[in-house]
This record gives sequence, C-alpha cells and structure tokens, in this order.
Amino acid sequence: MQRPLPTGRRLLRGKRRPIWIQGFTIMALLLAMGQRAQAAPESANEYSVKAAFLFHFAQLTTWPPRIFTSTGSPLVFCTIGKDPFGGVLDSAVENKIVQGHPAKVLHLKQVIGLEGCHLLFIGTQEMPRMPAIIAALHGLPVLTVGEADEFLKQGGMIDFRSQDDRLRFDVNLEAAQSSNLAFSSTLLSLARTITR
Amino acid sequence: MQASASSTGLSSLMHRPAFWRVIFSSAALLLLFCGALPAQDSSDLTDRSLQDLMNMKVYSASRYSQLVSEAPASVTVISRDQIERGGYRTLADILRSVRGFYISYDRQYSYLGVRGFSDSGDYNTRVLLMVDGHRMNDAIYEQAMIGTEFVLDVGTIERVEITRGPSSSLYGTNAVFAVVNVITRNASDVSGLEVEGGAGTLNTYRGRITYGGTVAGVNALLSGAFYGSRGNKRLYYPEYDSPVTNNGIARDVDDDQAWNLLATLSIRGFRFQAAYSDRDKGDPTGSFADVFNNPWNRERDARGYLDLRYERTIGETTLMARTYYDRYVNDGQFLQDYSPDPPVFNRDFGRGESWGAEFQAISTLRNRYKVVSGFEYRNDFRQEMLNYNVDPLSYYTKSDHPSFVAAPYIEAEIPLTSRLSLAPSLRADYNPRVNWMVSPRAALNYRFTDKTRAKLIYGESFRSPNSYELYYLEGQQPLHAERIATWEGDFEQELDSHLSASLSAFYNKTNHFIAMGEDDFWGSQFVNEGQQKLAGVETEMRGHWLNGTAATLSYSNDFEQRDVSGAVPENSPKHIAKLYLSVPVFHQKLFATMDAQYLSHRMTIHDERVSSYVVVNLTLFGKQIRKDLDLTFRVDNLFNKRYSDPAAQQHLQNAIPQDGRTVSGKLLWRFGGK
Repeated sequence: MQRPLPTGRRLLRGKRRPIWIQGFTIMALLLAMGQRAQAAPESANEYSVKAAFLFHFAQLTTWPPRIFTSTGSPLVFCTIGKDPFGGVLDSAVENKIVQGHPAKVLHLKQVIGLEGCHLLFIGTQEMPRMPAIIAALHGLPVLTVGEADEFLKQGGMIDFRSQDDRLRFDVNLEAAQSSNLAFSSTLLSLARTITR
Repeated sequence: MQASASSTGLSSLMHRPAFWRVIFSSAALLLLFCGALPAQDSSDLTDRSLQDLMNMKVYSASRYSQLVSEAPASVTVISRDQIERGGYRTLADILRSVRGFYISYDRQYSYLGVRGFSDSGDYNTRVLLMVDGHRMNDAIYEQAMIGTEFVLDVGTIERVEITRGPSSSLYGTNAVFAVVNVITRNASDVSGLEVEGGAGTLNTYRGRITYGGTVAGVNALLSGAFYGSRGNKRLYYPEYDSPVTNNGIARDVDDDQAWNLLATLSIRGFRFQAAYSDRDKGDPTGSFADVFNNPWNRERDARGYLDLRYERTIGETTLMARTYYDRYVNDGQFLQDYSPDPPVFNRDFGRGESWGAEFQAISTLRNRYKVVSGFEYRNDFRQEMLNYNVDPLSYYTKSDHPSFVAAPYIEAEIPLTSRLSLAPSLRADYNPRVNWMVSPRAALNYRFTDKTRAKLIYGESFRSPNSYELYYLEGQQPLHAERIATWEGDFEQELDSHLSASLSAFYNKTNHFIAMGEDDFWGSQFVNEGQQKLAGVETEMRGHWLNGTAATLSYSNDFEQRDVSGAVPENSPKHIAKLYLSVPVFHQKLFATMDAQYLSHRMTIHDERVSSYVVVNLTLFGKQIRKDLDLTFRVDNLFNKRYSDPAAQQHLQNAIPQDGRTVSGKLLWRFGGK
C-alpha cells in the first residue's frame, strides 16, 4: 500500500484569522432556544405510552359480537407474568369505556384463564412462554400485543417496534383474521408493516 | 426539494456562503418560534391520538437510547432507515452525512476527516473502526478502511454508532478523534432471503444475497456481495501533461472490484461471526512515482476475521468473554518510473495477523453504580512488510516485528445527585514498543430537565507508532507514542416532539504528533513532530415528523487550527455545513432525500488552496413499492460540481479531482419471512 515517498512533507504557511463570530451567533441562538423550549413535555416513559397505545388498539379492533354477553360486560386487558407496566396500564385504562364496555385489567401469573381476556400483552420477558400461550389461545378472539423481535413470527398480532426513540408497530393481519378479529383502517394505516 | 432539483438558480446560490448563512438563520428563527409555542400538557396519554403517541419520544432502559443521551461523549447514530432513504452505498457515504465529518478520496482509499483533522498521508489511523465491537484497524498500517475496501456491504448494516472524542480509555490505541462502530443486521431483521442488484454510470454493478433465519435452532445471517466498476474511462491530470505521459490522460485505469462475505451465527449466549473482504483497485494517479497511465499499478486489500463471544447474565452482572483471529493482506504491484532508465516492476506486500481475547463484566453495585471492567489481550503475531523490485531482485523493506497489547480497563457511572452523574474511565495499555500508556477520561453529565442536558468531558488518548511507521522506511529512528488531550462540552436540547438541537465545543491538543519528516524521497522518515491544536464548535438541528419527514442540519466551525509550525493544517476545512432532508412524496412508500455538504477551502501540502464546494446528492427510495420490492435511484453530485480533494505526499498532483454527476439504481427483492 504505502511505499517510500517521493517528496518530503512541507511545512505550511497559512493565514490565521481571529475567532469566527458566526459560530457564536449560532451558539447564542441555540442557547436562546434552549431557554424557550424547556416546558414542552413531549417525551414519556416507554410503558406509559405503550399503555395508551393498547387503549387505542382496543378502540380500533372489532371482536366477534357474541363474546360480549351484554353491553355492560367488561373489555379485559391482560398482562402475563411480571407486569411490565408496573401498574401504569391499570391507571391508564380503568374507569374508561372502550366501545361501550368498561375497561378492566387482569394480571395473569400463569397461562391459565386466557379466555377471559380480550387483549393480552406479552412482554419480552415472557417470550419463552409464547408457544404455550399461542397453543392455549388456539384461535380464541384475543388480541395479542407484544414487543419482542420474533413476536409476529411466533403468531402474535401487533408488535411494538422502536424507531428513532419513537414507538411504531407491525401488524400480523393473518393471525388476527384467523382469530376472527378485524382492525380498523386507521390502525392499519398507521402500522409500519403489515403481514397478510 | 423538487424545486431544488429543477432550479439551476439555486445551485449557483448554494455555492455562496451567504446562502448557508440565510438557511441557518432562518432555521434558527423557525426553531425559536417552535420553542415558543405553548406546550400541550396532558397527564392522561389515552386522550392523545395514536398519531400523537407515535410522535412521542419514549425513554427506556434500552442500550440504544442510553447511548445517545447518557453516553459520556457526543454520539450520533445513523439508522438503517436513514441509510436506505439516503441511498448510501459505502460506509464512506454514510460518514459523509455525519456532522463535522468529511471524506477525501485519492482514487485508492477514502480518508475520514474528523473535527478538522485529516492529515495528508495519514491512513485513518486516528479513528477506530469496529464492526459489532470488533476492531477493524489492521495490524500493520492500522488503517480504518471505509470505502469500497470496507469489510461489509452496506446492505448488511443495521446502524452506525459514531462516538466523537477520545475513547482510548476504553479501546486503547487509534481511538483518538472518533470511534465508528458498525452494527450488523440480525437474522430476524432479514427473516428470509434478500436479493439486491444495482447498476450505475461508470459501468458500475453491484449485487448482494443475504439470508437470515433459524437453522436447527441457530440464528444465522449469511451474506455475500460484489461490487465492480470500470471507473472513469478518462481522467486528466495537468501535472502529467507531457507527450511522454500520455498528455496527462489516464485511460481506463480507475477500475474497482470488491467482494465480501459475512456470517453471523448465534445460539443462546454464543455468537460467532466471520467476515472477509477483498478489494482490487487500479491507480490512475501515478502515485509513488509510478509510470503514469499504466494498468499494472494496482492495490489489493483483503481483510478478514473470526470472532467468537459468549455473554451471560448472572443476577446483576453480565459477563462477556470473546476470542478472535484477524488477518489483513495488502498486495500492491507497480511499474515504477526510473526514466530515462527502463521502468522497474515493484511489489509491495503486507501481511498482518493477530489473535486476541477479552473478558468483560458489567455490574450494578448497590443498585446505583454501574461498573464495566475488563481485560483485553491482543497478539499481533505477524506484521510482515516486503517491498522489492522484481527484476533485478532487490529489497527496500523486509521486516516482521510482532508485537502485543495487554490492557485492563474500567469504566463507572456514578450518580452524584438526581441530576448530575459522573462517568470516569481508565485504561492502561502495555505494548513493548511504548511501554505503559495510561488513558483516563471523565465525563460529567448534567440533566437540567428531561429535555435539556449538558456534558463536560476531559479525556486523554494515545496512538502507538504502528509497524508501518516504525519499520517500513530505511534508517527509521525510534518513535514515541502520540498523546492527545481533549476538552469537550456538549449541550443537547429537545425543542418539542419533532425537533432537537445540539451544540458541542471541543479543544484537541496533540503532542508528539507522528508524521512524515521533511527529508526527501528514500531518506524520508517518520518523526514525532511536536504539537498540533484544533478547536471548534459543532451545531446540529434534527427534525422528525409523523408524516415521515426527517431533516438534519449541521454546521461545524474550526476556529483554532494550528499544526506543528503554527500554520493551518493541510486538508482541514474551517467550515462544514450539511443538510439531510427526506420527505415522503407518496404515502410511506416513496421518499425523496437530499443530502448536501458544504466544505470551505482546504490547504494542500504544497501550501495551495483547494476551493470550497457544495455537493448535492438526491435519492428516490421506494419502500415496498410492490409487496417484496424496494427500489432506489440515486444521483450523486446532482449539479455536476467540479471539486477536488487535497493530495498526499505520494502524489505529483496538488489535488485529486473528484467525480462529477453519476447516477445509479438498485432493486431489492425479499423472499419468504415477514
């Protein structure tokens, strides 16, 4: 690559200028902006935002009508294993009405009683149990939402993805349809990718 | 953006610094207004629309976001999304878009300038390049290869993490001005088969096949790619304009061929990675006193490695152990001009081989203090360099001086108050060539609010003289290590959910700077020259909107530039401005992206000016235009701007003219998987 050089390095005689003013103008502007903008609270804890997403997902999903025995029967959000929301989901959706049904949150410890859920969140920690969960659901109309890389491949329906520090989600439409769930076009139009 | 593509008036405007001043001022004003808007306040996030939520920044414990805001340095991450939309084809393309970075090309290698430093004749030795944390600077020249000679195809890159400033306190030698860590894609990201093919002007072709999936319980990513370009049919160098040297015309000697392979296999805590690349490049510049316009003048670089690591978390501690083997071969052949005597066929051969091992523990003490500690051993057991004339056989260089490095290191993160934290780190490298080198770094990180952060960093880094500098040239005297002290202040401000701004100021002082001495030709030597000082400010504004629009505007100003003699260093622009603007023109399917770079004038080693330039590139990226098909169309140097990069000591030329407008396109098919 590098062989002996034909000429020696020459010393340079360049002009030195005083410190450039423009850099400081921009610095001053930035600092000024910094002072103005401190109030805007547009970032939030990951799981607070995910909880709000779940609320919207529930609003934008159609369950088969027969699974709600009456208009007063609750729409149940479930987590499994250790609650990754740390109670945030409970406070976000309780006392709210989703599609005419009061929202309720259940924290399941084991893969038992999944048929009582309408929406089930499966955190990254619970991915080893994913095959057991999918087997237990066996086509029941339960909307599964996850956050792991392989979630959709393992049969999940909506998968949270993080992109540039913002939340996105991918949708596995095939899995939802085979469980008799339908998504609104609003939900689908916001999905990053859709597997059909 | 479409307006700029069609308006030629804008192109001439963009060449004026005043234009950029207006752009910056208006952007700054715009930001002022945005900052002044009343903030929406709602504690109940369910009241927000899904669109609003998608636009909200989330902070989590993930490594990725920690890296940027809490890293004890100024960090930039270039995501795969940006790479795809920008139509970047090499790592050099990616780095060209980074604030404060600039690329020079001499039709052999691409050179990375950071914070006003890109010494002519330096082979990127003050930048540490890594792939998934594996050191890529080779064992002989310690060169970070970033052009078509880089070990990976861009299609296998997930993201590029750029850490500015000194990192010798973690990584040892070469981590002086920046660390560039290239993260490869996961098998699950690819999920199936990807086939890519592309073509462009200068008879350029490329292809790639990548498979990602699970085979017998092993997550596997396998990829192979090739690149071939005939290059410029005709290049004119006035310095060679004489009937003996084809009137300065180099015809059909700019070709570039490269291929590479990558395999990553992971199962449970184990990960095995193998990578290999081979690049063969013709030299049209007649460098190193070669016979001009001769297709025999070629450089070949082959780089490969094997890396096996194991990671396990026990309680609060994550343990990592890894071992690796590295190989680099450089094979050059040249017809050297001894006129009026007949030319002589010269060969230049370098072979570096290393193996190494590293142990690392990351633990949290008392639920409060994060401590990373480790030990690295690397044995560069072969550092062979040969330079000889073939007939009659005579050696100029014949050396092989193995060396090794042993280095313990420790880094901690200590919360002092709820807002203030201290991150000290220290590494001690033992290398028989320079004995012990101790590199400390300390960073104070202050969080004013969730939106506003400031960092103050002091660090010392070093660079050992490499095998090339110590043993290549005849009569070379011993060299000391180069020592660099850096002060840096960073200020980061999120303006609202769409906009953020950052400001860095730095001061670098290099002692015992290693460079070519003043002696002529064969008697030339490397020497520790003295002191070099560089100081500057860098500002950046980033915007990211829900409809998919992304923009980054940056400006860097090096207000203090002094080389060993007190003059402005060569190849060091005072001003650099960059604009990256990507807009969805059709839903989330078709994106138009403009990336533009402005560099102010630079000096050459012959004390002449290379004029300033603005280069604008335009890319159209169709994402899943059909279900499994992506389409990219890119125009480089849209306005056909003529510009040059400063040449180095080995060139007769003062500066090397760069390519004008070129056009390329590529298609990507996905089979199977998601």
